[in-house]
Amino acid sequence: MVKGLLKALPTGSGLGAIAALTVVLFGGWSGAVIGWLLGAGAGFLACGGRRIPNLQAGALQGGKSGAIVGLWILVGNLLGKFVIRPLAGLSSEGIPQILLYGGVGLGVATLAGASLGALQGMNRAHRPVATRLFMALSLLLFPLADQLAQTRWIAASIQIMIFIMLALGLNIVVGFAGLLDLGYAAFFAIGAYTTGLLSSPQLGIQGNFWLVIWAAAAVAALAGTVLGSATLPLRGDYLAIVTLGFGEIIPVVFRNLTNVQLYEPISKLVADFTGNPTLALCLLGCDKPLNLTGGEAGINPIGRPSLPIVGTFQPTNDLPWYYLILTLLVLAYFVINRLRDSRLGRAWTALREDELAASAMGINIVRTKLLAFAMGATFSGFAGSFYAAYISAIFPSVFDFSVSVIILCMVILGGLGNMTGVILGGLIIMGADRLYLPQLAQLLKGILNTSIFPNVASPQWRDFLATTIDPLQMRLFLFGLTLVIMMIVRPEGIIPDSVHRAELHHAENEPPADAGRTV
Amino acid sequence: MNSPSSLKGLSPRSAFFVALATVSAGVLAAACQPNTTQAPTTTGGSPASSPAAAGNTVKIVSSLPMTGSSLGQTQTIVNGIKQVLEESNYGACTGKLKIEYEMMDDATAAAGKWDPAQVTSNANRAVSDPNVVAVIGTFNSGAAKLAIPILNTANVVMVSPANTYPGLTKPGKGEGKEPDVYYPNGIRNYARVVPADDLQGAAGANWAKTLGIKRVYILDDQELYGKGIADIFKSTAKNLGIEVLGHEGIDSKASDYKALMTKIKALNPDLIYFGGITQNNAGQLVKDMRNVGMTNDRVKFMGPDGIFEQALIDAAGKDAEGVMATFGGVPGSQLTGTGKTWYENYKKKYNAEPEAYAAYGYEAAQVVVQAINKVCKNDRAAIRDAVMATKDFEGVLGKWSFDANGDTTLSTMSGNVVKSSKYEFSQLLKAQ
Amino acid sequence: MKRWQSSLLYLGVAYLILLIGPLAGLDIPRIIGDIARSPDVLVQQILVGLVNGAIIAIIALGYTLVYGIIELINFAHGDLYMLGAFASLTVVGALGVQDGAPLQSSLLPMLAALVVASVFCAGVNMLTERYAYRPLRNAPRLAPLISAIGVSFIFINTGLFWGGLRAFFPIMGANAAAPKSFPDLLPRIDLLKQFGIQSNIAFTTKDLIVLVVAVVLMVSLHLFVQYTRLGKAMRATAQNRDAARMMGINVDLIIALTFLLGGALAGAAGLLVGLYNNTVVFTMGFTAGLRAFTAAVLGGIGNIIGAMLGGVLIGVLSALSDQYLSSRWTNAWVFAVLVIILAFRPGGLLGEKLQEKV
Repeated sequence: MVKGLLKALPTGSGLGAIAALTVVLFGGWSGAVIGWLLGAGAGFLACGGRRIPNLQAGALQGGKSGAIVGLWILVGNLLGKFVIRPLAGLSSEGIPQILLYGGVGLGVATLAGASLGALQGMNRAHRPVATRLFMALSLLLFPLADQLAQTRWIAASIQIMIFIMLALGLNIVVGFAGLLDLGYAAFFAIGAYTTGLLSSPQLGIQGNFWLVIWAAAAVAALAGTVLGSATLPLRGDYLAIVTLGFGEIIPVVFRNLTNVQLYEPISKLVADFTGNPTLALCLLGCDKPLNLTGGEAGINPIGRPSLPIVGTFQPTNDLPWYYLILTLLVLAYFVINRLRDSRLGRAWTALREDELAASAMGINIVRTKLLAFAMGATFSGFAGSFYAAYISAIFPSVFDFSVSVIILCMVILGGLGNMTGVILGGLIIMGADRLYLPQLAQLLKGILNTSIFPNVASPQWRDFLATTIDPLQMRLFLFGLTLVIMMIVRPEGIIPDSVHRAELHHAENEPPADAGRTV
Repeated sequence: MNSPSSLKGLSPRSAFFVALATVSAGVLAAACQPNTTQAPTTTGGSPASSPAAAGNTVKIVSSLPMTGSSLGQTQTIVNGIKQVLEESNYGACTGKLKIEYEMMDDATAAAGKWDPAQVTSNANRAVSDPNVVAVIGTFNSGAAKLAIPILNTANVVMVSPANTYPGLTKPGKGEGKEPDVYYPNGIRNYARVVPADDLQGAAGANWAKTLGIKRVYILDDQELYGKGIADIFKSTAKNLGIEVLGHEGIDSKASDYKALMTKIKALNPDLIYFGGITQNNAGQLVKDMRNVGMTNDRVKFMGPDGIFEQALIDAAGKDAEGVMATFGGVPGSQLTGTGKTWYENYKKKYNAEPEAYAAYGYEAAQVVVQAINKVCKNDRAAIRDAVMATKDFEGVLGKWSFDANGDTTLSTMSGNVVKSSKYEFSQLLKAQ
Repeated sequence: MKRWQSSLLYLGVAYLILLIGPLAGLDIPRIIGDIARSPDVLVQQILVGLVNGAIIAIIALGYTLVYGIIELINFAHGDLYMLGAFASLTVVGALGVQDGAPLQSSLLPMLAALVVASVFCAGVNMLTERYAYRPLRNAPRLAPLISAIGVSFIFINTGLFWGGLRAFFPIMGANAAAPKSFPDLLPRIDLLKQFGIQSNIAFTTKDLIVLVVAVVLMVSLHLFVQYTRLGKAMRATAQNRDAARMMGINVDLIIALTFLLGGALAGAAGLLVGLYNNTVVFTMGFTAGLRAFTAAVLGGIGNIIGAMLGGVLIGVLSALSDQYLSSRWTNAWVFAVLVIILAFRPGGLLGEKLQEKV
């Protein structure tokens, strides 16, 4: 048994360390929740892609990896109880309670690992279906587990999923088609503002969310096409800078469209120079300038979706939102997955690898590029629409350059072009930003205050520690460090896009006529 | 060695069952756990894990942007809050109640400033923690629009040390159905210790009038607070007969404003009013104004409480001389009684002159603690009502009450001018 | 595209600008009137824009240098320049120079600040290259970009901590996050008045110094890259790393030296901006970096003279937009012009010279 566990150590330990960190940071029943998720992950890593003869062997192997994660959780619990929490001056529960937390974590992780391992022991045909079912079940039950374990991760997980959706959309542009887009947040903004305008008192239109979300996606796609056509002749970093410019312009536009009054320009010029204002042809906002976007105050409140049984979604209840974004995300995943394998998807790959060769093969470069921008924008439109409804308000300051950069980080960190990778990238970056780093900073602050501060005598250094090295302000530092370390550990991304490259090489052996028809 | 059945004396199958057995035990334990958490035997508890021991612990949460550019102000607010809690020794009702404090960050590293999704999530987290009875925040009025309705349905009171957007509380001052849209259950749960824009902007314009200002150019930092206060200043100034030469929003991230100031100089104003906060480059504005030759004897610079802090003087250096700032209360050095003690304690503790937002933060926390002391139990609705009913409160801003809307009745404001690198009290101001 | 088609396209774009422009302050009759009324304001604004552009250009040089050699958009460069400004402020503060001190007593501290800031930034940049970018040299092209973004965040936070060092350097002021005042040390003599020309136009020695420094830096960098042995090695490395290695060039060393040079430039730029704008704040690097990066691309990235041209164009454009359009819309106007220019010149203003490299 021990030897078996030792062998499973490497697969379980990376995840186990994360699990232990989680337990130390969040305490309580978080070990059980994270144990389930990461135990399953460890089980999958131990068995996935290998030949597992039968259910039992899979369960054993997966269970061992899961148990490693579980042991880490136990260790994390004890570490938290005896070392970290005292250092940070936090109270903690009694030893039996801690052992219970750890024990349950261990059990749950083992069970999760074993069940996922067992599923890998099924025959080839059923294996992927079973794995997906397991994942689906875990995702469906996550809110329940969150509720039981009192971890309160559900709000963060909604935000994480919004960003994963954005990352999947950007992945089409950057990962599939190889067009570096530094202004992706603009489409997010366009989707959100379209929703805001079509279902708020701003223009007096109260559209139904289920229709408005399609309108938002369509408008975003249109904007994507416009941007795409403006950038057709550009390559590489010149393209990047124009998309960046687009991303800078859009928030300014939304911030300042508070006094809209349009005149037909030629008649206006004539009117101005002849000094006869009646000649100017008014197009929009003639009686009174139109307040389109509400300026800094934004648009508020925005209508929320409602369903027959659930009723109108409330901001205080995250459950319906969770399932809505989950559904959107799963749909997006399947659509993008199909797109990638379609003719269009292959055309994107060809475009990414060599624009000239692709065009020589008869691929319509213009159409392919425009479709990449449009499809990428569409999904961001969906995300924007959901976001607007979820927050039920929209402000121009939300959509600036840093959002584009973060989404790009997810895509590249995860592995350009690889959808699973991109999802993981989104999970890691947003998880770090929304859940782990704030908690870590609080903990460090506690340690500083109770364990280090009292031992510093010099007033200069005390002042320095109290005002300068404030862990609560180290968030950006930790975030940057996470990015750098992740990149150095996995320069190719978490899951490099090997499939795509293989596909391309595979295509080389096929008659080129296939590519020629891809127009 | 490499086969999975290397466990000696244990066949794969029996090992599997052993594993399963442990697991079932674990699952059983997991199934039982909700009962254990609610058992009153658990003591203390981490912030995230156990909501146990309800009854003798109450928790105050602050939701402020602690990452990014507003940090300067929010730090001082937190200083103010902590000072209150330390003075009351993190307890209330002569030790019967323990007060915990958690500082939530409504900004994210990714966004670099307040993030609407984070605001909602913080509010929901506060609601779901049964110990939380009050939220101190938010810093940005936009954030308040999102947080108030969520807290409202859960009867959690929110006291803001910084929101000034009138529509949050005052009927008829905002747009559409404001402010009622923010209070879905019909009971007000939001109060603020700062005077709203419509008071401070007007007070600023009145002050300008008494100083004999004739031509003003108005700038704002393109944020809700700054733009709102600048708009009020503009309309009041027009009513008072001051000529408004223009009103523009600045790019708060620009490295300098020489071009803008050159343009303004050509228009020959005798006052530049800036609606905004220090962090949005107010210091650079002052510097560039002097750089292009608008000296203090010819053109004055005025701003709201967002620039009433030492940080502005630190930023503008010698050019800060003569900068004028309005403040929704009496400045620390002018205080008597409670205020004076606070002023001296703060200076001693933080080694810095207490600033506008420190006073507001202190006052907000004081109001909450005072309400907890009245109610003496973990009862959200009762504490909310106690906060909203605050009357004749003697705090560091003066003596004031909350009116029916949750606005401070304090209408005495002060005008302050920078003299030899310090804000000095100049005169009392009235909004009307 | 046939000729009439493209002219139709131009006309269409022009019409659109005239249609939408007024929303963003483009009121042509008013602008013509303003310029006719006081042409000196136009000249003054162009001068202001020129000097601001020179500052952008100096930062852009660092971008272009690094990009030219390893095709990395070094996002952290703007924040490195911010650290340079903090280093200079620290030195100036530690040496006890007062605001408005005469040149005799402030010259040496300024030189000291220049040396410290340059050496500091050069060192930091080299270390960053060694530990954050070099491990990624054979990774996909965009991987170092993310690393650079991470480094940029780390620098920003470092700047914040640095700003809180009031316990050791009183010049940092009470509040860590607040902007710091940089002592005004450069002489401010109005040149036109000095030469007896009476006008509303102000052009001081301070502006002149910035322009001169920018031009000197640009020319010497250009000469260095074109004619010195090291410069040639840099160009060889930029063209083909493997071939350069085969020719006996120590590629790692050359890249490290490029970062060293870029860092030193950032340090110098930090001091210069501190002295010119007289404010230092931890968030100043990100926007400045964005502007500088834009300038570098606009001019044709990798091209030193192009970076200068791009910087000046952006500077003048912003100044004119602040004056005649609306400062609310300046950012949008600057980027709109950028988009239009790149749509017609896809390789940047001076980009053709680089075509052979592709």
